[in-house]
Amino acid sequence: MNRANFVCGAIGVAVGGGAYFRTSDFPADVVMKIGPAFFPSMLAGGLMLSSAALMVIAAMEAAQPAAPDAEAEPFRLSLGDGRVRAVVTTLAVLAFTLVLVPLGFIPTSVIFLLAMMALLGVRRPLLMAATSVGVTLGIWLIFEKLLVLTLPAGILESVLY
Amino acid sequence: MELLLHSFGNVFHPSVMLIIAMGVAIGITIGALPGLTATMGVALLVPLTFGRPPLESLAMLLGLYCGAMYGGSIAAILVRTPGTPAAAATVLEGYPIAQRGEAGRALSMALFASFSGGLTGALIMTFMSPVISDVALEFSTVEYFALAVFGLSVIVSISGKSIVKGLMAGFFGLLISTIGADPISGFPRFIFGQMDLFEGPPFIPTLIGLFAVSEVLANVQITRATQRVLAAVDRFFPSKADLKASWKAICRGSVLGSFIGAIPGAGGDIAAFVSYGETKRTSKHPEKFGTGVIEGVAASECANNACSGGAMIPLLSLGVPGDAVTAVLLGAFVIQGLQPGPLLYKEHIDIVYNVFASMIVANFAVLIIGALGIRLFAKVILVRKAILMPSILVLSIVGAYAMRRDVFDVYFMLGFGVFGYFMQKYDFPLSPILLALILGPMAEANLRRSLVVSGGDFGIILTRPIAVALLVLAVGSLIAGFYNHRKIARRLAEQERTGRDVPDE
Repeated sequence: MNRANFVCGAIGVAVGGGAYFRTSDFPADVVMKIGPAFFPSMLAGGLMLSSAALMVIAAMEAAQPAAPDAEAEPFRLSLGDGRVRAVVTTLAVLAFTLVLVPLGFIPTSVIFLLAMMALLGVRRPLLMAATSVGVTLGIWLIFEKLLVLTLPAGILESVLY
Repeated sequence: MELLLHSFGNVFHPSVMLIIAMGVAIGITIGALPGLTATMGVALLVPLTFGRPPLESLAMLLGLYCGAMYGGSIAAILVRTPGTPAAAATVLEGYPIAQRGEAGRALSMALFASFSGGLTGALIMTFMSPVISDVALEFSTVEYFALAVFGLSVIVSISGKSIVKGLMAGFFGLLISTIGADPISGFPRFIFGQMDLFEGPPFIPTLIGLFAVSEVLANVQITRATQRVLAAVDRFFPSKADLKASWKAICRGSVLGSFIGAIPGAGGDIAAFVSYGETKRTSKHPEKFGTGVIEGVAASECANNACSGGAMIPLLSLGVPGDAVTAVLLGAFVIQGLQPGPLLYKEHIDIVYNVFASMIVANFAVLIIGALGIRLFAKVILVRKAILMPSILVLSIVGAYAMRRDVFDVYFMLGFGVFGYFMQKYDFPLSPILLALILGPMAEANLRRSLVVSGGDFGIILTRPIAVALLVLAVGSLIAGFYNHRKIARRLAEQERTGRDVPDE
């Protein structure tokens, strides 16, 4: 059995089933035969059917041989493991979003870039500083001055405006 | 005629030409970077078009599109890694030529062939799409519904390795497209009390999440250093001998690429392989292919660039995107308040002419900027991922935030980034979601409007010949998609059995 595909199919069935269940609360339209529930319930049915098909195919498939890539390697809880770096990157974007408005775009972006470059193995402080400040200011100038789209100033509000 | 000349004149304005040149330069850079696709580039640049006039915005994005199609060949030739999937066929001959120390010869041919193909595609688009749109001007809501169904039938063709997974992605995208207020009654669906979702899922954050953030999450897992560039770049234009050897391949590939591009679901990668295959089949020395034959580079590069013009035909005339890049471009049109399709020809013919002119200018810009910056773009491959990936993330966050100044959109982008990453990891195609997000609301709204007119009678669909024809075409497209999928699977299995390299799709 292809376990990954089987699980993906099961998730699809669950999502489709949940959406289908949800549409039962939508009001019916007596004039046009189809109301707000018609399309979503039909699509939820399609998602469930195609997901069930994937589950059946996965169940009939032979087990997949272990891929000779990182996935086959034992998991290590260190930044040397690519999967850990991906999780840390996701958390870093989450942290960026959380502090974007209170701290402001410029300080948040500089700190984020420094941290991310360190995470990905850059060990030259001058290069890191120049890149993080340069990229941040470049993006800020494009959005603020060229496109006139205001980015959160945060703690630098009195300095910038 | 006067409007045509006026619209072309607008594009030839220095500021617009500069914007096209910028788009081309960014496109070549993005295309040259393995892992970054034209789709991702256009998705990243869309937020930069907020508040800009349609002409400037579309000119920049079209410039990027054309530039990226050529840029993919640089990494393909120099480091055996196609910068974009469309350049996969270029690796087969381009890399062996570079290995012989003639990288400049391969790059110059790739540039010239890209220009020739791109220009042919743009000209074919200019003359063909108005003809198709004339027919489409007769459309009512019923035909628009059928057109959306036809567009959605492409999902099978762009499903990648598994049609079932493509269908799952398509249904999931369609389901997401129903989030927000019902188009007829205004009843809020699936918003779970979150008013940010009342207007539907935010398009740009979804786009950036699926195509940019997911790529970054995959790329941060591999931090190995960039590859060594094989040989110095010493030539900007092909020699007379190479042109003489390749002109037939260029002519054939340009026409083939334009027509393959116009078929929804068939992208630059397919066009390049078909053109390469034809050139090899008709060659006097097919046995030499694979060892570094210049016609092979010409055939694949002109076809994948011609494809960009061809892919614009269904987008402009019918509002149906042919591939992932044109699906993102469709989003860019919508952001500008323009709906590609027959009405665009009726209400905004000036914009259509602008698009024609921009594509033509963009291809000249590819030739000039490509020649001037060939050495610089070759160096782009050396940019460390450790610097590039965080920068892309910052640009993605800002792009998602800027339009509504709402951090909810950034969370939404991140959610779709993680979702897109897992989808790619488990071989689910991303493009069907995007196609569904765009065409889903069009299908639902038009069907329900039709039913308002008919008093709830579904039979109205069968009373309109064009709608029936489009639905038959949709069924045909589905069958062709299934057939092509089986054919490609058989070919890949055969290549695997014979032990030959199977290029990435």
